[in-house]
Amino acid sequence: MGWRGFTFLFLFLSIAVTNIKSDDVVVEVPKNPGDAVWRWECIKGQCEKLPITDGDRDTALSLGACKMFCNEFGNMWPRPSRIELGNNLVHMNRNSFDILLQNTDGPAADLMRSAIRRFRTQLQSVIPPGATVTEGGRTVSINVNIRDNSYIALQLDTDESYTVELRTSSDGRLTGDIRAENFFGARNALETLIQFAIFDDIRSEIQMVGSLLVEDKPYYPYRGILLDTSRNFFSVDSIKRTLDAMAISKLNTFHWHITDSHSFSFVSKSNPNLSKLGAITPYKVYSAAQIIDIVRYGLERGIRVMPEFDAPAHVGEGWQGTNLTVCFRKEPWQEFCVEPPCGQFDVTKDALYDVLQGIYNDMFELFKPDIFHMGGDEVHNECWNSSAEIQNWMKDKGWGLEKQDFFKLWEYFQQKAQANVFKSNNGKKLPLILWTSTLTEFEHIDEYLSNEDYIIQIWTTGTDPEIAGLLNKGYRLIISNYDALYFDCGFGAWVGEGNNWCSPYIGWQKVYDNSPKQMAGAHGNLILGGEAALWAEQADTSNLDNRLWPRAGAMAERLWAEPNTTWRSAERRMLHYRERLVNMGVLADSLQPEWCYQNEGYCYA
Amino acid sequence: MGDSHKLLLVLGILFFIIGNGCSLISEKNGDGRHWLWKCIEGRCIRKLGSAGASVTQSSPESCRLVCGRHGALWPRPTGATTLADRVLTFHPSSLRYDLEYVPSASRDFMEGAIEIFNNNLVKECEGNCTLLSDTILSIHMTVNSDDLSLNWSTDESYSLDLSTKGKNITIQINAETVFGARHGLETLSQLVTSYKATSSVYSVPRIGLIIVSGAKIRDKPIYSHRGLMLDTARNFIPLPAILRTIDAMASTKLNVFHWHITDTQSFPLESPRVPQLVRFGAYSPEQIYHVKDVQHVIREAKQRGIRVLLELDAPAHAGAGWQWGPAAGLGDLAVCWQHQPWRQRCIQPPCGQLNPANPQLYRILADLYRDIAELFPPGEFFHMGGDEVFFPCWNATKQITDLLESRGMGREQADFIRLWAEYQATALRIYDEAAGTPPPIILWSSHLTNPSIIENYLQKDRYIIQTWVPKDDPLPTQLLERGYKIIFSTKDAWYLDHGFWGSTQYHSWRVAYDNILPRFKSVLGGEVCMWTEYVDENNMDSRIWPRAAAVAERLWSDPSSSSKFAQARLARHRERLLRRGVNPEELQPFWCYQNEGECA
Repeated sequence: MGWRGFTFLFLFLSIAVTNIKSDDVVVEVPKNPGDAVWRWECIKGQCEKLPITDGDRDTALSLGACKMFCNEFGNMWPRPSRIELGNNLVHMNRNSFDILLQNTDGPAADLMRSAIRRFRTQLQSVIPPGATVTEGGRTVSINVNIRDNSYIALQLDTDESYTVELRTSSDGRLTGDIRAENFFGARNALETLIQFAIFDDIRSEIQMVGSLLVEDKPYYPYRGILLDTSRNFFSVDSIKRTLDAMAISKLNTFHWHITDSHSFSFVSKSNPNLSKLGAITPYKVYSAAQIIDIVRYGLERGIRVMPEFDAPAHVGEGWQGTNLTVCFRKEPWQEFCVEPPCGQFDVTKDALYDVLQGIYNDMFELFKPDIFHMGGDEVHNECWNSSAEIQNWMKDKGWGLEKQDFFKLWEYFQQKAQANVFKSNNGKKLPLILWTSTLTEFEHIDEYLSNEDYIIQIWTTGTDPEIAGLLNKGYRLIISNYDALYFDCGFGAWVGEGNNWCSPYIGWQKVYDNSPKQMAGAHGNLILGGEAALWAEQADTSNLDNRLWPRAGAMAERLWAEPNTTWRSAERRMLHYRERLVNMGVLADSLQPEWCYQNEGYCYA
Repeated sequence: MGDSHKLLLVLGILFFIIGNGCSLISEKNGDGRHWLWKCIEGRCIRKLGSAGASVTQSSPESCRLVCGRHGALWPRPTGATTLADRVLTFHPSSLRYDLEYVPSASRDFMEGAIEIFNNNLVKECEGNCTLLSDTILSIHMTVNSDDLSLNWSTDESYSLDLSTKGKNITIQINAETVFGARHGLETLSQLVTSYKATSSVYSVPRIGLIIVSGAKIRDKPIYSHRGLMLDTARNFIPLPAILRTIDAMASTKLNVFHWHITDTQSFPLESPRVPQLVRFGAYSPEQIYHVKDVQHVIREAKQRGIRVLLELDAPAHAGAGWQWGPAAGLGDLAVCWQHQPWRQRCIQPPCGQLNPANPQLYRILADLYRDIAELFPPGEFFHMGGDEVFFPCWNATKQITDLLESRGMGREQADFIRLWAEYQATALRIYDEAAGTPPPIILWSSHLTNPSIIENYLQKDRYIIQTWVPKDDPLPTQLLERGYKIIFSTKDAWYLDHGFWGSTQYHSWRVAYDNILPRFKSVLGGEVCMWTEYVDENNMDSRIWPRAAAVAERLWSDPSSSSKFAQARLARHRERLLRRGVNPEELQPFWCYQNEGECA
């Protein structure tokens, strides 16, 4: 029901009220049925909710308008590097809104057309469901200038910066310019621009700020979300919704943990039996066509879709009958792996590398990755050591069966697998990522892995000395410290009693304050960025949204802007950002009573 | 021969094959082996099979249907339960109902229950049952009483007998009341599962229904009050989300929807006699529960055997909606509203408490109560809140301290308790007048329900106390000893908002399940509580479900066994909720669902 509906409501109520004769309670009936009751005013830096009176009806600000001018950075999320915001809002004509590409050739223009279509959809979703819009208003015309129209492959050194300018021209139109080096910057500009369009529910019109300048670029080049689709399956729609939410947050990497011990849902052209045996059901698979669709969907939103093929541990389902794994489903599982079902590759089998070559080829064909994640976490020596075949193989090499010998075995795997990966990349190197593990301990990592080839993804705590140790040895890092960025923490344990291992739940405030820069010390240049991880033992399509959002947005601002301030100064903008997520159909967690959104500054601790 | 004849022929062949126990189910891999599930010692174990599987081995759901003493039933029945180990296919269009032995006054209700049951079957096969079958199901319902009132003494028991002769399945559901009969249908829906059939005959898998071929179930609840409390004031919960929640409650045989409809933050309940309450108190004109909305919820709930327990929390937890008193010449109806710094006047922002010293307040309450009482049948229970009155607020209000002084009272805690008790007595009298028939009144445990003073202020034949203290707190026992009836909302097990704020801990479904209540006659039951400071329609499903289902089994069945023995059935019930359009929390990797008992 829109405000017009409210009109009828008041008529109905006033009739009901006048029927009460027996009671002498004085009831104040609104003078103009249908008039909005509340307005907001920016007082001492916060929007105060005030009743509308006749005297201030014409100047009354809607909640969205008040927040734009009262909150820092024009209420933007993530906050920009620089903003100059005018002081007026104009009624904007949604039916006369042009975004003109100055260069209409080249692959970037195709992507921009798609981004502009998306912008128009977002503009529609500014209007609350059921609201009546007063049409008309000023014509809007935005010019888009992209310097390099051929550049459409996201890299770690891609320039994602942009500027947006808006002004009211002498003929009454709203005109503007978007300038960027490439498509990625230009689409970021559209994500910024849309945040300056609001619905005024006092006047029932769409408004845009009359003058604006934003100059903006990210602090870190790698800003990611990991989704594990092996422990539980996620529908293609839910993955796309995640990419949509990432796009408005200017996150740029969807790290797809697509395989694990629990299921193998990646349909491999070279080894189709893996998903036939390993999929949860025959219908819970990711086909080549679906993956191509998702990769393109990501690109249109400035997001790389990066696959992880976790190995040599975290394998199991799908490999039945191949004789290429050991200790699969071995019990008691606690002795051989971190969670049931156990499973690791038998890395001594030559045939394994032929199969891996095929899978890597399949993945490179579909994902066309610029970075590849090889997993490499939680290898259990006890698993390998439970196989007489592996023991004999190691003995034949003249190795023992001690910890150091199993490192050699792991290194043997990693080198062969690395060669396979590079071969899949047309014989060229590309950056490889590995999780922190016993192999990546800074004291000996350089014996096994070169800092030119490998990026290390930190998943221990944010105060782990490994961070400084690895930085000192020149390794580039991606920060996913579990004590701030593991979004699966805080629910009942799925094996055993009590709550899950990394409980308690991590609130958005802690996510926001988790600064890679502070962890890096003098080696800030080696931090590529960060990533929030959703391990999916206890998540699936049904609760995906509220696990990720809006917390991943808190990280998005940290990684985009690396502010010197804490969550406290971001809270009001965060609440607004969360409402934007909900309006676009993301089932984001609620952070506070809605009262706090309407009454800024009153819900403090 | 036309295409439709070909289809019938194909389906006829298919039924024949299934009837003979050969499998056309499961995707086959290259070497002809496929997954099947075998029931071994009550667990469904996944194996690769090379020979044909029976229908019950075709999926974890079909195995679960007939595996173990309680199959896929949630909550588990309390009486004798036997389930056959074979299944038959059927199509929802082949159901025949016999309501001859249902009193005519109860037929409308039963027809409504049958419609819900049919819809649930269709949802079970993802909205469209494409696999046909010539099995006929005849459902005979017998209801003894034509009493349609629902209260704590309603007989909710039922019996269900299901037998098969050839292609005819006969089901007899007997119950004293329509509410018992409704539970019988709910149980029957849990004797059904979908399965997907693929074959060389058609390329797209067909989805159909299977039902156990025999069952005998005797069932009735242990506790008569089995509730879910939802707070719709901290955040507004739209009507469809409330109705979805009520559907999910019905699937677990919960029977009280406790609607904490107002609080300090917002007042979304429309009162035609006092329209200012929503005008000033709703978050927006779209976020109001109109009279017709509340009536709709009450009607839909009752159709599912659920009572609506409306709570109007007072005298604390009141603020938004009460601000207009001074402008209307009525003085302050609420005091301390939005006081800053809030910690001086309340436990969470915004502050606000009703003003017991303002006589105008009671006139407004009389109108509001009249509007509320008109929503319900005579004598229906009502929740008057009564928690967390914050005395420093009243103590800082001149009108109140003047009143105390004029009556020769001090400003100690005891004085404020007396003031509160007087407020409560007046409010009760006003509600009784509004309702005509004095109904049972429920109050949260508080200073006022302290065992040492409660008998001075709250009559045990009028008040039922909802305790929200931790498990090890003696309060419930002390109140029981004094003769009060109790509803348990054990906060360190059944508060679903915990784990996301302060130092609270998340309570897993196991903790919720293993919270055992004393079995006294005056323990009416319990309620699991969803406070919504951090919850709205977007995340409420996953906060509430399936943990509320765990509580439902505790309250319906009160099993002597622990959560350890309930996991496989709960995981199945979670899938059922998903099918019915609820988004419950995921408890474990799907691998564990397919490999029962392996994730211990």
